[in-house]
Amino acid sequence: MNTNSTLSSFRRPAVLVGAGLCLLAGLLPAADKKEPPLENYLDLSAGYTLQKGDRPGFQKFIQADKDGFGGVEGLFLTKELNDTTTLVLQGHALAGNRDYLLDLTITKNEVGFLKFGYKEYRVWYDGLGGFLPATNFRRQLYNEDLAIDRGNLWFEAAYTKPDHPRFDLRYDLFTRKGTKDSLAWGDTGLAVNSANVRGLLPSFWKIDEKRHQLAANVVKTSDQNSWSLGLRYDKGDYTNTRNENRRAGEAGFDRKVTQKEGQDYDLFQVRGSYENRIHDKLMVTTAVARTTVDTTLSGSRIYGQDYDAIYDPAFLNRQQRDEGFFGLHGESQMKQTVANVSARYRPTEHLVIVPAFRFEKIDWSNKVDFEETNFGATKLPINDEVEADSEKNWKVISESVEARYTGVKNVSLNLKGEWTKSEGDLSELRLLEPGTPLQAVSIDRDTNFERNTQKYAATANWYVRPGTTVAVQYFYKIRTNDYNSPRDNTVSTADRYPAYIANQDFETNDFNARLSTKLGATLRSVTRYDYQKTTIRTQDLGLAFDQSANMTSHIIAETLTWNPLNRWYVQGGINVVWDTLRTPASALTGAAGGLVKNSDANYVDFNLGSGYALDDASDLYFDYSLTQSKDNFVDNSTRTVAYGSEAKRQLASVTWTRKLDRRTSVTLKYAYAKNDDVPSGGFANYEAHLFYGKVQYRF
Amino acid sequence: MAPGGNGTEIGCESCHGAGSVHVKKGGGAGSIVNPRTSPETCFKCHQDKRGEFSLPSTHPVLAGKMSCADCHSPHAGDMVAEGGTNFGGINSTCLKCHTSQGGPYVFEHEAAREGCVTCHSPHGSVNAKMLKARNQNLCLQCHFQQQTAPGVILIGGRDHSSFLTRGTCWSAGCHEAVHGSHVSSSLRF
Repeated sequence: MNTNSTLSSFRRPAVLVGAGLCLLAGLLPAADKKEPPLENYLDLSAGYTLQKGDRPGFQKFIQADKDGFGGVEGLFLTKELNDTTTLVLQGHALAGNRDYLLDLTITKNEVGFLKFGYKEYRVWYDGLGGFLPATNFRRQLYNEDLAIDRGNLWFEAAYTKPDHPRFDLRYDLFTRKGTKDSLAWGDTGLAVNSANVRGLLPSFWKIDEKRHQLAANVVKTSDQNSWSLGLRYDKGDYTNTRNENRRAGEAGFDRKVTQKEGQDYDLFQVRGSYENRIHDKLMVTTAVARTTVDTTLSGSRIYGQDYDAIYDPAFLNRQQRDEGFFGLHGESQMKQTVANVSARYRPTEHLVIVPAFRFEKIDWSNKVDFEETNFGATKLPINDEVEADSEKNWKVISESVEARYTGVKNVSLNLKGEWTKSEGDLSELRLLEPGTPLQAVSIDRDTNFERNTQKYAATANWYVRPGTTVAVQYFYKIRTNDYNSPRDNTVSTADRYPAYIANQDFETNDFNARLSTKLGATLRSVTRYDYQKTTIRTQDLGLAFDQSANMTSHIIAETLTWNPLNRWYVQGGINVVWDTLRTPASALTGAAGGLVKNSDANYVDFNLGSGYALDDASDLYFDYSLTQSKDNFVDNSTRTVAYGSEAKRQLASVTWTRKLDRRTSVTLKYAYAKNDDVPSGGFANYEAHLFYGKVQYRF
Repeated sequence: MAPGGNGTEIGCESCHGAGSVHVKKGGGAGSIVNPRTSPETCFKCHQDKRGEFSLPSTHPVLAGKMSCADCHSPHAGDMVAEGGTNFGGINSTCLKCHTSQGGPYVFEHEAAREGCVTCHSPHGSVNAKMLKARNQNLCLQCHFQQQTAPGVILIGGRDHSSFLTRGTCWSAGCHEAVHGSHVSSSLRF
């Protein structure tokens, strides 16, 4: 967290934080410079917002609580416990933002260290659902203020005595809990009519994940070589539910769907590495790891009057084809072996060659059984016991050669070629009413696949003169995927994913160039251009190859930094982006016409920042940013749900900092934020005034 | 470093700032710029990424809750610590935090083997969930097939014209299990 624009609290760091710090530092009274530096500090801060419009959307943008926050923004404390032992404590605790950190390290020189800590932060989401411009339809079904809290508790102990093997033992607990939006929107007959339903109703996830991780490592390093051996054990579980409301508010049709996905898993990994400097010109590194993951699976998808309902075959609002399942139980086992070896060979002073090889083998088996539920035309329940399993085995072999050459004056060149070959087998079996006279095969399929990837990259940097660099980079990548199903009982039906795709080729050309230069004594410019074009060609079973996608992006970026005075800097930057994804679907006619529009993601991002040292103790900063997506939205809501982006978001702020004395400084900040969004019909618009203050005490 | 002297500014200090205090102190945190605490160092050359992180759907890097180094290894060769001959497999960077998306699934989505970036723009997007496209094109980029009849949109051999009036493939109630499924090979749910 920077100390000038503390509002990364208000989301956006100052454009040139480093320069800002220099302003104040460069103008400090001479007397201060003679004092020993004060390393420790305590920052107390508070922020508050006045806001109208889409409050969850605003909160998601600034990633801070819309109702304000306050507390300890930063704490740094170092203390010499004795001649050889040091304590370092870092932390923060911002109530409202649920942003907490306690990071304690005790180090004993030439013996080792102990670490203990806890970190928690919140990520906000907006539960806004869909909007249909044609009828001005939108529904709010629940509190759309959603957030996930991520937590990490750790303890680490290490023995680091010089000339001895280093031992390290670490325990982590990772948690993820809360609610977030889902794009699997519920359908509604109220947007158009009951015969033309549209998926617009907001859905949300409930997330509850936990993972314990214990890792032990030993490393021995000498002048010529080093080796390491590591063990890792993970134990994790999660139960996540997606909550969807279908036909909300429609008499006889309103029902809630709760889909639960659960896992309980154990991961065990052993790994080792060895690095050997064979002679001055050659160093070889190799590593190997073996991992097994055993997982117990659970889940259900149940329709009911409320979320988390129990399956009821006579549920009043049930509809034909309300498909679901319950009582899912299963097991999965994954075994993975990875090994790689690389060499760094320097035959001459200006040439480095790095060949590398990697091998990976994965065997995966999964098996579940569950009760599948459905309703027929007369709403009579249709239930089946189902068993499903799959076996996946594949190998990946990758090779690469990289060469770096610096034999040309003021030029560095880098070339790399990479080749990956992967092949494997996927067998799938799905049985209805297994082990009974009614047993039927739903899916019995065996698919062989082969993937080949080639990538060639070249990079050149030309240091034209001191302060001026031209950098260019190009890569070409092609991947061909071939699928063959020697056994497939689904060929005569429409439900045969993924066996329907027989071949698929991906091809990418990527180029970028950058010019960094000084334009006089006070002005610095960085200009960059990026181009990428990707095509995907797809051949389905029995059909011809067709170009299924064409993606092109152009990005032009410019940054100017101007230091007209020692006490004043100005920096401005702009990105102009043209980004398109085209599929042949937009050209279809008849019943398929107008359903799928081109997917454009064009936008402009502009930022301007300035800092000025008012006197030897005060700085003033100004920031402005504009992000505008344009020409990405086509209102085809008379045919389907209109998707796309057309929004304009602005944030302006002014920050004043003053150093009251050697120990104390204050920061005050005001920011204004505004968002205008077209596809949401204005429901994602917001306007906000943000106020923030901080006191820092150094000691 | 290239000979000639013009590139002497390009080295450790181009990302970490002046190192004299760091050297004088004998190393250690707090005496030198740590790019992990702010993405501004990376944006100096990768300006396009500043724009992407400013978009409506993004990882919280500008908010200070993540750093570029959480996904990239700035001192390694090709920056991303996965794929190719790197030790980490494809997607391993994403699955560090998004563990539940990694499965396992009885019926997997092939796209996951192509990489999460087949559907997601990891630095940011104008679309929700950092999707490369918000409409049906996201799926059609791989699942558009040669059309053998006029006036329809055949996907997997079945006409989807009426289905697509409800919305996208995954938000119209038809293919919600986008990362994989235990119960349905067509990734219904």
